[in-house]
Amino acid sequence: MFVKGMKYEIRSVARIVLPMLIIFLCASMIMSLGFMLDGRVFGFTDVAEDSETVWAVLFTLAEALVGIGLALLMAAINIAVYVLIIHRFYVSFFTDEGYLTFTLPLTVDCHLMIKIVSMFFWNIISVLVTVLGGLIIFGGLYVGYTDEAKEILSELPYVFELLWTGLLQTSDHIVAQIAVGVLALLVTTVFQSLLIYFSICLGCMLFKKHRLLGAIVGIFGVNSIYSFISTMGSYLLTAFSLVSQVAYWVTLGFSIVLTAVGIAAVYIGMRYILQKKLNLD
Amino acid sequence: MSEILQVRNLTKNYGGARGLSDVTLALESGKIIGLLGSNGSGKTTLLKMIAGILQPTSGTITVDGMTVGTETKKIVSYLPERTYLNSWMRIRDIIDYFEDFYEDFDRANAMRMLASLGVNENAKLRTLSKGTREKVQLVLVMSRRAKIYLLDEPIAGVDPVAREFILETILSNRTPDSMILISTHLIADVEKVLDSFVFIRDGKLLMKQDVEKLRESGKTVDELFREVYRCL
Repeated sequence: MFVKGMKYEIRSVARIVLPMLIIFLCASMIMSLGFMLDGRVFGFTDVAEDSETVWAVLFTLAEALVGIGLALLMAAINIAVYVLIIHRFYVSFFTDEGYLTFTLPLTVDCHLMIKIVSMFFWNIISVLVTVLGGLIIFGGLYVGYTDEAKEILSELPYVFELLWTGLLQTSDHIVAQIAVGVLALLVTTVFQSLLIYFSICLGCMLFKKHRLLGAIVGIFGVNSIYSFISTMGSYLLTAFSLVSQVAYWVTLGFSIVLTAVGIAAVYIGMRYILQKKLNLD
Repeated sequence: MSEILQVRNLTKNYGGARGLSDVTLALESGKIIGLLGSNGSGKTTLLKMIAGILQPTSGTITVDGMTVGTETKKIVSYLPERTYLNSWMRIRDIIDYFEDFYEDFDRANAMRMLASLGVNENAKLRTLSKGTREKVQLVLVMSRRAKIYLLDEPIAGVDPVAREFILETILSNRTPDSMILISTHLIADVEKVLDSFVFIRDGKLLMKQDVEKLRESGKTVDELFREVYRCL
């Protein structure tokens, strides 16, 4: 049932998100092609640098604009994916569609897991497509300006080595610190995602007559409280790190455990609201 | 016939207001039962709780011996009074959806009924008229080989021809051992198909009776309804 639920959930988001991702990839290809043509055929970049010909300047300007446009497009797509997923959660649970959702022979846990997994699935897909778009553009750059690209690539290991050496000098336990940092990031990401869903549930429960407004108020209200608490927490972490390394580790560990408890708490809260307090009009 | 639905001391409060008050009821399988009452009497509240989308404040509901939950949703087919289907979906996608989630869904029957309605399986739901969308929804609900059908106001707001279609669809698609609970306030239209009826008012159960027995006393359900509700 979970797999079937995922199939329809992914399909419902895909019908809007996939065309957007395809547009982004097409735009990346156009830019990549632009770099290839510039490097191999026109050589406008070199001409622009040397002679400032009007066409050459216009071409490089267009390239810059496409680049900015592409960055904006990807940012917009990432935001749109996020908003769409949240909107799907609201629509399938708290509008007329809820009559269908909650008469399916699925448990509330199954419904929630479908929404949670779907959110991570689409976020990962949009990140992967961003990376793919980047690679396509780099491919164009590599073909167009092979020598320059090779030079940059050959210097990358030195840059990474330099960064790593710098990091090693900052702490005696840098590997452990990075691992715990990644863990903290993962736990916080899961918590923030669930918190959005929980905010919608809470808002819709409290504002039965104006559910959409309730959902929006819920998202802003709960997240404002969370932002305040997490900001205080990060100040505390910084303060403790100045005192001693041990205090830093204890505080960071405590905050990870606390976030994990938060994940369990918001999940139980959502489950309770959907199971006991749902009243579709 | 055995009792497939048992409701005991069921109460539902909405904040300060009372939706249902201490309702106790047992309904047998193999019958078409009218859940009759004026607007706001608690009919929809009762159906929603049997369907499992609303939790009672107190009391219990058992469906085929099971407490309302995932297992009962497999054998209860519910038609709410509003369109709940995704408007962007095509008819064939919605058929797939029902077939995927409900083991008792009869795809061939659904396709046959949709064809008789002249609905193209490639059509998107949003391109259909409101009346056709409602009929599609009814076809889907009645194409399940369920043990209980809960139909909330299936003939409200439709023309007489559509009413005929709806009642015909209900009658021709029910399995003999299933129970159909039809909520409506349009009693004269559904009376001819009912085996028994339940009167409900202000969240309270007023009476439950067999239509046959009532007819023996020379009254129709519609007449009794007007008599009872006028007096109260």
